[in-house]
Amino acid sequence: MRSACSSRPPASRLRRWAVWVVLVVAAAVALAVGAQPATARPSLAQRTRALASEVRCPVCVGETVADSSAPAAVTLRDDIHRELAAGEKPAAILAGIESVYGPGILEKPRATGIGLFLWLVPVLVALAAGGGLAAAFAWWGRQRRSDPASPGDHDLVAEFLRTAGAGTPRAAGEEGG
Amino acid sequence: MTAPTTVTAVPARRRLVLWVAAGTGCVLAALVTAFAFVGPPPDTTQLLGRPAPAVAGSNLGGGGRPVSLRNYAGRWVLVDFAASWCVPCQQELPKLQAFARSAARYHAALITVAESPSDGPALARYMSAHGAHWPAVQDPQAVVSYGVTGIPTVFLVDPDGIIVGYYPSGVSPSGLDSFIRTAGASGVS
Repeated sequence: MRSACSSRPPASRLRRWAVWVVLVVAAAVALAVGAQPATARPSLAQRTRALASEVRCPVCVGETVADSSAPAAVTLRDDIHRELAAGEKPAAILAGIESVYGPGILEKPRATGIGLFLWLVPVLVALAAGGGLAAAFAWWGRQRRSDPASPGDHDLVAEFLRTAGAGTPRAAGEEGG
Repeated sequence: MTAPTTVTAVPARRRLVLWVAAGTGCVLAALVTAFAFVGPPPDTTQLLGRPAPAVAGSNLGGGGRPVSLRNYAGRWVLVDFAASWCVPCQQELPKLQAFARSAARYHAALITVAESPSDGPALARYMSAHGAHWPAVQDPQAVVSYGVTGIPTVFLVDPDGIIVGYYPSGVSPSGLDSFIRTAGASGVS
């Protein structure tokens, strides 16, 4: 079995890589399709809800302005709706809210300063985890290809075969059966 | 039979796991430290030093007369966000009354804004019953424009209409007095 693994034919190796490539492409396509908005041109209400869901409710815990019924959240939602209707850019609206409440009001931290760290950490962790897995698989592969039996093990097997008087493992198996 | 392999492999794997765990621990400790020291101070607002947003509405305790912060230009104004059901707000009311009594000396004023529109009448009744006779309004837009995240929250607006004080956890009448006197001496009022 060890020799079969170490001398895997190129076609088999290619098939194995092809499976991985297909998996990665399928996952990427599924993510891309899932991330697309339901309609190409979202309505004002949909845009309001989308933007409101990027703002934390200032007087609640764990709720966004899109979901909360607190008076402050309702007022903020109305403000967002009115400003979007007036043609204001979403980024400008968020910046206005942030200028009053501070950066903590945003669901997604800005990719600047300490916020950049928050964005980078998951990427770095994913890269480290991927690298670690690749290194572990490579190490396990090397371990599997190398002969785990020591010279003493080989001597023990040879000794057993001699004393059992069996020429081949097949003959010994037939005896046992 | 596989004993030699096991004996040599396990310590190496343990060492690796220890290094990975130590590295992860260091990264987590660095993150916790960074966020503990880099986060915004708790008792500050982005609005300090900026023009005070508008406050307007009808006086809930004064026959519905219109009240607007703009009409207080040239005066020190304490803008207080409160609710009738909020115990810390109730505890703060005597301090605001003490400030209101001494405020006459430097032509200062107070406006209380109901944190929730539905609470406006109850808040006005509570204030009236406890001898607080300055204007109370319901202005949901002001609650958002001042970035109020909890009550009681008090802002001090100087005679030029600039926010110069932010008190998210209670005011001190003597502190306000000395602040305004010092600012007045330096030519703000």
